Amino acid sequence: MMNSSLVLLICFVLLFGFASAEAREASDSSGLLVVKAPKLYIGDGRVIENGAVVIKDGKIIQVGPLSEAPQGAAEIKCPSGVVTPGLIDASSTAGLIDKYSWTEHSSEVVSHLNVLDAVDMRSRDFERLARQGVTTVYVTPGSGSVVGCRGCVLKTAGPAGERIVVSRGSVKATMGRDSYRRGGWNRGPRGRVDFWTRRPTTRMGVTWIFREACFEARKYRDARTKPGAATVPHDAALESLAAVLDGQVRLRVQARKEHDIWSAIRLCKEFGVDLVLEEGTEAYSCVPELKEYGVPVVYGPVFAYPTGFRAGSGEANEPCLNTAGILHEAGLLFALTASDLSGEGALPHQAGFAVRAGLPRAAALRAVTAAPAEILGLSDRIGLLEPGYDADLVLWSGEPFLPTTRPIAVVVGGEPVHVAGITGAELRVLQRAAKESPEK
Amino acid sequence: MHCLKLAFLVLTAACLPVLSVTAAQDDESALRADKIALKAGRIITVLDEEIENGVILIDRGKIVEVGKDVEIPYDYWVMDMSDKVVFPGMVEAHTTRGIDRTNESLPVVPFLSVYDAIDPSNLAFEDALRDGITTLLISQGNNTVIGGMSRVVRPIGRTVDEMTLKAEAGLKLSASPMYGQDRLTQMAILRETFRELEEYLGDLAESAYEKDLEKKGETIKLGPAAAREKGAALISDKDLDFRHKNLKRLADGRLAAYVYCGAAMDVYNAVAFAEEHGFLKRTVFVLGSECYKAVDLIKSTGRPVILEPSMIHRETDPLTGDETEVFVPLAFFEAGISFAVTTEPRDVYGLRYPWYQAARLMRNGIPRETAIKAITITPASIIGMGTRLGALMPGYDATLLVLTGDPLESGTWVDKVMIGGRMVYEQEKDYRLKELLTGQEQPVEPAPQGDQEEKAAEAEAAPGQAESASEANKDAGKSQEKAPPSGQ
Repeated sequence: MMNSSLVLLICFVLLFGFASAEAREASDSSGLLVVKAPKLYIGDGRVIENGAVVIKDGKIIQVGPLSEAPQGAAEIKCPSGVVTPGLIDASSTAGLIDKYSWTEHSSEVVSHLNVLDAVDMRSRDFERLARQGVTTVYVTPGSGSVVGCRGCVLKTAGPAGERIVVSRGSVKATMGRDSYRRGGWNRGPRGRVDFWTRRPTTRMGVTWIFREACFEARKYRDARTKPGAATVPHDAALESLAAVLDGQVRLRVQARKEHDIWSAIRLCKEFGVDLVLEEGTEAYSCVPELKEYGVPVVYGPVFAYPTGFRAGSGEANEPCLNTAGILHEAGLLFALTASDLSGEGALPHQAGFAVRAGLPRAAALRAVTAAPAEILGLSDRIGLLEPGYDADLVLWSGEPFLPTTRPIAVVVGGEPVHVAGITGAELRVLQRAAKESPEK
Repeated sequence: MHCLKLAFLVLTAACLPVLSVTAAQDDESALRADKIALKAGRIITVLDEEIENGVILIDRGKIVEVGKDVEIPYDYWVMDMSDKVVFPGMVEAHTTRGIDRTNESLPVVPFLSVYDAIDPSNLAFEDALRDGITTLLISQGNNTVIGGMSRVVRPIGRTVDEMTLKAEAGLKLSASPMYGQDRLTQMAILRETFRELEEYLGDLAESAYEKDLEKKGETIKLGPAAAREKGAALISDKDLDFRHKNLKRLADGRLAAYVYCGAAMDVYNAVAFAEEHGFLKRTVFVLGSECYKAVDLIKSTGRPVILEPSMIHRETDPLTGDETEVFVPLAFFEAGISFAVTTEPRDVYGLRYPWYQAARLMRNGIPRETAIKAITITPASIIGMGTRLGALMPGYDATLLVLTGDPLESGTWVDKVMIGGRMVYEQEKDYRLKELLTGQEQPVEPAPQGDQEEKAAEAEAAPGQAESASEANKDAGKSQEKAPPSGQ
């Protein structure tokens, strides 16, 4: 049931003819999808009035005024809408189906493991994210290990074979209490030693484990590049860490409190490693240090009172609502994230609340599109509405990130994955029918 | 007149130290002015047209006139808000904020009142002011069969009496089972309570009739049923004991009933029960999300509803795992039912703000006019304050918000709050909010000192010294703490 001002026209037959295998015919406009709206926000600050985005084979091939759009192609349009690049959440927990699969407890250093192995690709989390306009997520591992496993970058929807963008991403490290919150007393009953008792119990232990792991990785790497390398047994975890030390694999460090952020920077300086700061609840008071060392921040969620695992951590009691604004003013590269939140705490609303607290609107759009793309090292593929980029975009019912705005249509990899007014089930049925139908 | 002024001053003085957000101290005359002319860039009256560059005349806490070309009498204190938007204070029609535990363990407690549980210093009231909620109906929670008495309050005042706008605002009931109970037991308890009430009243009537005859020296000639009938006219509220008084008022339709229905089936039970026991005409339905399915039945009763803050009903298909989401207010809007929207004070994001809830209504296709009414005049009317609150019209209380922009825009903040003609909140002085927004500790102005000059001078010097000393310590500490990142 929609307002007359939100009328959405879709030529379904043509549209899904495109999705079917037989669609690539000789005709000029077949296989094309055109998204038209009164405003296109490219993502780098440019705005095109009355524009159209032309999509073919899952990529954007043209972005420009309506007049230049090809005729006769399948189209999605909205008379009052705004098109933006698909949103990117750089620190999501999507697809991790239960809390215990977030963290591998068998060792403190698990940099050889991949969180992708724990992700359920069919989880409803991804559908919810897609409905909210989030088209790409970096799934970050849990924070229970000091040196944790490696994340991955996934598309939240779209063609099945193209959903995994990066299967082995950054290594995650955690400063702060999260790795010793559970099993904290480090006492086995009757003095028994179990894996809980091997864990660190203080921040001193946490930083020691990190340093020790990096030392070992350095030793390992040096030994493997010298003669006699064959005698050094292969150690997958150290292999990954060695790649981090060499700068081939990025390092993400989760830290909430000010002194944890300082520790992270200090440790990374010691080993000459770049880092990306995750969560950064008190990053607002570390701006000079972050700037000096050039640390991008994946900040979020915005909150006045912490929820979820942040609430129990005891580290989130001094938030600043305008952290995003402060980071922006300092000229730092930062992305906003909704982490584990959905509903009214989802990424578009995170951006909305960041704007309310003082972040300029254009910077907010960048913080959920081009900036996370840059942080993930995918800035040539996602985050902008430019020819050659992945066809991931959102058609909003109005100015994005306002509480009165919602996504009308979400396209991932050239495929519409959410259309307002049509349930997911109906959309899938239509897509299947189009694929199976013999018509062009 | 003197008494009124004195009470006014005392009330104002009493409120000042309590709130961490005090009104302008350099504009004290405005604080105490009886007559205020508020010039505003935009006035949203809710019940009438919006006014650009208008004036609101306020006299002793009531709006006297609202209009575009209003002549300001010479003795009115002028407040210039020409760059701001004036909006009625928002009304929360049903909440448990401010009370510590929301329900008793006993199922039938109509003799309790939230009066005894409201804590005026609860942070929720400070937040209410900050977010623009100027009137709240505080009631017990939903985990009951027949709960206690609700109360309409304003979020200012040091005692509950000072906060109270309406002392006996209605009884809480629940058609949804109490925790650990099932619906059979719930309905059985409800029926038994009223059956017992009938019996009690009957006995009371009979003995009243007998006493009356005794007084007159006559003998009883009628049977029990007839005696009861005659006796009923002789008993009044003051004869009833505490367990039955409010129930009788409820049954007579003299008390509002806030009936919570968690599921659609509870609505059927609630309507049937309320009708049978004579209080359907005073019933307000407090609904869980599934109750949108009973919208036709609710429509037939003609009664208004209060919706819970999430406003979304989610169901997961057991076979396919597909989630469907229904936006609940839409069903009520389409049926033409009067609905009030509430907020969730414990929510971290938009659900705590009434304006955000109204924006969500618009997001889902409900017109702006209805959305604005759903947080102002509609809840005000539902709680029986519709002629005093929720709109900016002559005769209404001067309880309003001065906003930095349109109420439904996310960039708008509450700049000032006026309750009953007095400024009770200014964002300028909201140190807690400032600290939250900037992450920096804000200097708090020392409280006004006593009359003695010496004392004042001493007090001024001491905190200053202490402050600068602690600041110096802080700087030293910070530079020490800074060393580790660069050193080592």
